[in-house]
Amino acid sequence: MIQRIVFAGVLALATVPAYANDTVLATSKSHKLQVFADGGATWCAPTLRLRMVLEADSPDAGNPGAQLELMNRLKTPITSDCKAASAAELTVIEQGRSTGIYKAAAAAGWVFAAAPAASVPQPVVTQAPTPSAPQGPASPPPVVQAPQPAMPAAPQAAELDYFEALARVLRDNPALAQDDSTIRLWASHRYEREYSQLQHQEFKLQPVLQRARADFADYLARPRGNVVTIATRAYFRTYDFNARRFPIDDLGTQVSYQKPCCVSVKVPTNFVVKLQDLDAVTGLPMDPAEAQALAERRTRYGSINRTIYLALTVRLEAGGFKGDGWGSSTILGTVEGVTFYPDDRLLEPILTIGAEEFARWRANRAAELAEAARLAEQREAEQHRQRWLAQREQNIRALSGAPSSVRLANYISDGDLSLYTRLSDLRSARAAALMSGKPVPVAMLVQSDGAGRSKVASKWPGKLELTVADPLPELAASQWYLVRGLLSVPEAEGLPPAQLTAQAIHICAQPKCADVADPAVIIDRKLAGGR
Amino acid sequence: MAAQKNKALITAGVALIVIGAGWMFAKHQATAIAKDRIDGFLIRNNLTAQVSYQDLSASPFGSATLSGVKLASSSGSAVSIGSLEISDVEMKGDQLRAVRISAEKAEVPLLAMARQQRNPDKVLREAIGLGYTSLTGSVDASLRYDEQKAAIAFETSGDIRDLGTWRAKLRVTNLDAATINTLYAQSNNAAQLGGLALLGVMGQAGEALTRLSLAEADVAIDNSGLFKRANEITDHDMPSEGAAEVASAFDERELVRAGMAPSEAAITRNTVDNWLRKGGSLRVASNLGQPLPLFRGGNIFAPSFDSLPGFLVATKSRISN
Repeated sequence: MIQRIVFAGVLALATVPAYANDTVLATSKSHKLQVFADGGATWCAPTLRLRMVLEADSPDAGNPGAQLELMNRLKTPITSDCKAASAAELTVIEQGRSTGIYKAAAAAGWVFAAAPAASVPQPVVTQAPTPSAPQGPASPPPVVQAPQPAMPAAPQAAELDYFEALARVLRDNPALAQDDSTIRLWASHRYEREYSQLQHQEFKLQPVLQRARADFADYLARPRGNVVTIATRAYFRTYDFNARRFPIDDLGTQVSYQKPCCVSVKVPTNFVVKLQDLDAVTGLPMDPAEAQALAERRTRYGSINRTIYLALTVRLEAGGFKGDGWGSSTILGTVEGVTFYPDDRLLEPILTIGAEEFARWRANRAAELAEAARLAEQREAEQHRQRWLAQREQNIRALSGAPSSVRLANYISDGDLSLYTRLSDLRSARAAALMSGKPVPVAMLVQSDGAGRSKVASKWPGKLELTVADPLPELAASQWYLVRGLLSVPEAEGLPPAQLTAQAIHICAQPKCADVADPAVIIDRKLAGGR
Repeated sequence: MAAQKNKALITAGVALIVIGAGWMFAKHQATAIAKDRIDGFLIRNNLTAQVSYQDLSASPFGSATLSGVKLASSSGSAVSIGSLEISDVEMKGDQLRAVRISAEKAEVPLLAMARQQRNPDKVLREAIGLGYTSLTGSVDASLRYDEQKAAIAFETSGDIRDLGTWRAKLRVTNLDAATINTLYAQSNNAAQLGGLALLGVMGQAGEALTRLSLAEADVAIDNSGLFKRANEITDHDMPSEGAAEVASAFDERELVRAGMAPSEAAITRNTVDNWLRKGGSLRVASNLGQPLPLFRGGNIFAPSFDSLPGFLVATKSRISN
């Protein structure tokens, strides 16, 4: 059914259906906007769901005052075309984004008023992914069908926005809370239209500021816990029939809230919440039938609108926001639950994941990451082995021409083959350890001058004591060893022996470890994984 | 008799007290004068930030001893000297003609110096690797110009703990007072005017310098401590198969070509090579009947020796362990 209205002298009559299930309630070429009623043929309901969609170059774009004025002219078409309606909720859409939600009731004469919590800017999500599937038309956003009563209720925690974050900062700074610039900021948000009209008329603005000062104090006095709701947008990909869920693109690691335009302030202009465990939200679990129904509800002209909205239950760290000195403040938050919504009104949940279930998600994600890391390591090791295998003969030839010191260093080192590495000499190693003031990594040939585990003296290189911890083998007397470890030198009078603590040790079968100086032995050891 | 004896004792006692008091007064005065001179020298040369001392005492005979001396470098590390004695000072006008400086309990903090450098040089790394985190010992140096004999003598000796000792004496003749005056006058200008002025000094004194003759050179070094350390802390990453090859300091044929008898040349080379290989003491002492002109025919481009073998032969030096 096509509805018609007249915006007194301003809006032209229009009878253009926007989409198959949408009804155009009003349109204006001069204001470059349209008002749609959701619900298709059954759009007329006790509570109307309306959308005012402004074109990019609409003269009313970004001007809530003008938009409100136009909304209040919807009384005529509503009362004439839908006598069953007793309330309406209207969402303003500018450039595909919701910029405000307004409500009106028949009892109040169909006068629209802003719903404050929904009128703040949406959070900006970093690393926001682009949708992998084709999207619906740029505007208006698709209609979501009636609420599903079986779904759990929305989370009760306060939704975090710029002013909720600001309130947490100003809680401990009453002077800044009462600063004129802060009050002007609040007035520009709370009494947007009035402030915008009167901001340059200091006398007329005073009553608005006084009102703002009073109700900002009330706003700050509200009790606030550490658990908040953070709303963010996500894109779901093609349904995964094995995992029985819609996978969701990476949600990033943080959300940020910017100060609304255009008041200069002393308070932070940007709040960032770094989110732990957000990576546990990897999909929207759903039975195939249910998923199909959801997809069909969101299909327009053959394309599924894959944008959904998430309300994250987040526990903020107790320390509060910490400023960086550049106008930005950051806090760490841990995600403890998530509710999926079809649109940014966050009214009709698709699914809620509570704390207990979310803990399982978190554990599953940790297990997935660990498994992925293990597989990656396994893959890398195999690739490395294959590389070594292909280069075996070439490496043996290259090592054959190198001095014994280079060969032995390669045998005991855990790195790749290098013709530039040598065994360490005691004098250079002592100098390096003393100058750096800390133990230095070395690879050394050592002949023990005693037996045991701790501070065993050496015949070679002398003035060195070797210590080995479990599970490395105990040292035997007069035995040659190839040792990799950390060498330190006590800063004491005289000439104290250097201390070498072994991290890896090879017991040599021949003097000076000649048994492991064979290039083929070295290369095959690395090939076997002992690199 | 007893009264006379008592009178003599009292007289002697009074004389002793007067002499003691006079000595104390003279010492106090000498200390005050020395402090003024040293502090004035440090201030005039902008050295107060780099040089400091805890105490100073001077004797009426011209020596001054500074204790607790610190020589700070720009990087912050400080050389400390327990006791620095300046003695045997002789002046002629404002010209220094003789001085002796002895430093006892001197300490050079090598490790602290290295830690303040981004890339410590090789010698410093080597010393620290050998365990010389600081060098401690004593150093003595003296300089004396004898105007009558137109000769200048420089002597030095030192003993660095766990490293070695040295003793050296160098005496040069044919350095007349006029040349000294020129060097003094022009070096003061050079210090103020910089490098080009220094070249001017060399030019003005150049002719006189070509007449210089070496009367005596005697150098003795004992590096036993250094070799002991080197043996204890090897710089080899693997045990060597045999004795390490050490390059000869020179070819004995060069000594023969320079005029030394072949048998003596072989002994000289063996002595030096042995010292290079094993360390220990080595003394090189000239044996000149007459002073040896440093430049033949007063020509600055014709030095009497231009190599170690040439020096050994020209100065008829004896080398011994």
